[in-house]
Amino acid sequence: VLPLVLGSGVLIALVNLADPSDIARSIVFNLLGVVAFGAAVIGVRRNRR
Amino acid sequence: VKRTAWWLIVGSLGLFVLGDIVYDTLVVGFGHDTGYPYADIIYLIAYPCFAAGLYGVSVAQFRRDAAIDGAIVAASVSAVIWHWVVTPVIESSSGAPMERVVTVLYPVMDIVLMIAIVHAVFTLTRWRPSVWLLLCGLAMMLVGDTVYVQLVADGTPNSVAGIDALWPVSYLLLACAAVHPSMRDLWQGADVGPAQYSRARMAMLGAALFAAPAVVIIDNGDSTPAAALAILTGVAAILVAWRIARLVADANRSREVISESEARFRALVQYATDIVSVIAYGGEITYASPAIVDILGCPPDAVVGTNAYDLVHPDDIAAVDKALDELLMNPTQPVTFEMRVRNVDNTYRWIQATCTNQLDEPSVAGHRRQLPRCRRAQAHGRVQHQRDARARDAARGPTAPAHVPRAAPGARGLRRPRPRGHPAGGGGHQHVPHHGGALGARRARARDRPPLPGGDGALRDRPPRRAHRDQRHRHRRAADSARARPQHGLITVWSLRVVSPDDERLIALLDVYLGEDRNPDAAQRSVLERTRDLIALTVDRAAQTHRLGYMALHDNLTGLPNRALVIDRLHHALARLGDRHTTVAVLFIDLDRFKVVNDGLGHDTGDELLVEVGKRLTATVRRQDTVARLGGDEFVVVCEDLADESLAEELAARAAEALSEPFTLTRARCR
Repeated sequence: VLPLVLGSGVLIALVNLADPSDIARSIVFNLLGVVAFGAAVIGVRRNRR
Repeated sequence: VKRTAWWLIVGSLGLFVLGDIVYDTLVVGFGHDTGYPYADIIYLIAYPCFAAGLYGVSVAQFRRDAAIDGAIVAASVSAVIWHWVVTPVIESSSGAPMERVVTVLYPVMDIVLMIAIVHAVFTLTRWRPSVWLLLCGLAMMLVGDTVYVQLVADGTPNSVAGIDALWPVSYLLLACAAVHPSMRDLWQGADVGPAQYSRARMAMLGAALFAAPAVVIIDNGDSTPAAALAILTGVAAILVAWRIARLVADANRSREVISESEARFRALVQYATDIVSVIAYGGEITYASPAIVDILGCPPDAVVGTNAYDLVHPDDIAAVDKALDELLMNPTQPVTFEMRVRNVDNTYRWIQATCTNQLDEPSVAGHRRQLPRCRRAQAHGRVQHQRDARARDAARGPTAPAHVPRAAPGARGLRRPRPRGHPAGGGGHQHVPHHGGALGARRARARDRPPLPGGDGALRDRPPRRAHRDQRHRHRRAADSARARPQHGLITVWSLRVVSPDDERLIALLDVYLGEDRNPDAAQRSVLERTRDLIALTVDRAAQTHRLGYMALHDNLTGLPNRALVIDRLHHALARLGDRHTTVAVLFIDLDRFKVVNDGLGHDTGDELLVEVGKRLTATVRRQDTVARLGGDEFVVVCEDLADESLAEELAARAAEALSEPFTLTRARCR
């Protein structure tokens, strides 16, 4: 979990520092959102009893 | 419910992501100014779903005090958000009415989410990594929403760089919370009892009280009267919170002390090598320590709920009754006695039991608050069975008699009532084994109970005994009286022991019941003591009269009827002859050369011989026959209801044969 959070944070910081266009930022952020949703689904399925 | 709640959280997270995609598609891809209405609809559905999921996760630990605390904090935060976020948005928003409503709904949804968060935090049992991730993600989302709405209200939504990054980071944190294994244990576990008010929690509640005055001070800094009022209100709120915090700290400290003490005593009992058991009203065993496994071989669960008399050897029940009666007559004195109790294999083991009366201990006798006043007249007992010495088992054998100590002398006089514990004995009757009353009544039913696991039920088949049956009736009357007294409001008993004037032997109990809880005054005490003395004299006089009557009709050496009584019985037997077809025979017996025994061996030996002769004759004749001593060495036997004379001759032959056997006396052997 921790590497995922740290890696995503670094990616977001790099994207913001590079000040890319709205399109690139939107794509990156939405991809992160999709990754987060998928991870949440997997986590709930794995941790269910 | 909990898994569904987690799926609600994940679903709302998906809705947020979907809303972002729709928004970026509309704004970045198609050049729209806003994502209205499609993205807004998705967002506004996601918020209540998330709040519902969060509430569902923590609802298993719902506590009213936590909900109230959450409402306090949520109300304060809502006031702040409404004042600084919602109001400016309403004032500055433009466009279609529905679009303005949608804009206002965002901070409202944040308030809803805030309430769910606070409730979840206050119902937490343990702070786990998943909790931190979840709360950090939510906090980041709320900050992003609040700042963004504020920027929109100011007309500069893009003035703060990096604000867009808050949402994807919050999504990742929420995903991490769902992935982390500790999410299984969130808001889970047994009842944690009353809320634990930590310093942080009290500080949060105090800050919530100060929120509204803080808003007034910040917004009216240039208005001295308003600021002064706000400051005073805030100071008062803080002082109130401080005072409450001190009260809560005292309560927490007391709770910790009680908890430690309870844990210490529980450990002492649990790990004691002796059996510690609690016997409640009615003889039911309500607690038995684990040492019972080592001593009797059965687990505590097997005996809890059963009747204590089920475990006692039938021959020892009377001794147990007597010991418990003594315990109730002298509640301050522990009673120690020995008895046989049944093992799991239905063999018996001698143990030494020490009983203490714990009627004044609410933790043993029951919770005082839950006991109605009428329960004061019921009896409880606490029995501590001390472990026996194994060597003594072998030495005593299975039929050794139990030793029952007698009541300590000098324990007479007024005894301040033990209202809750005073026995169930009825007023006005003789010595009532109060404690045993309930026990005895239950004992009759206890015979039908199944044996311990592994037993063959031998106790169930033991024959009833007259003495115990009579005692049971007496105990039932006592128990009925105990149940009836509370209905009349009798809550206190003054009890006096009535003892024999000669030998201090207990002969009765004088119980006076009244409906108020107080001690007798001097006059009442005097009356009670005089009444007690009169009862003692009356009972003693009746006993003396009975004893004199017995002595007048019986021979004081052999205990056989004397001349007067045998003549009286002979008259009665002859008077009844007319009604029956039977006859009466009288056998006269005298001992030859008895004077030689008296003169040669002494009168003590002569008396001993007479006693032995009386015993042999009594053992020889039938139950309805009367053996009497007329005097000296002359005996007579009155035989009633004889069918014919031959039966009389047979009885005479049996008597002669019995007396023909040599007599083994202390100093000589005679024939």
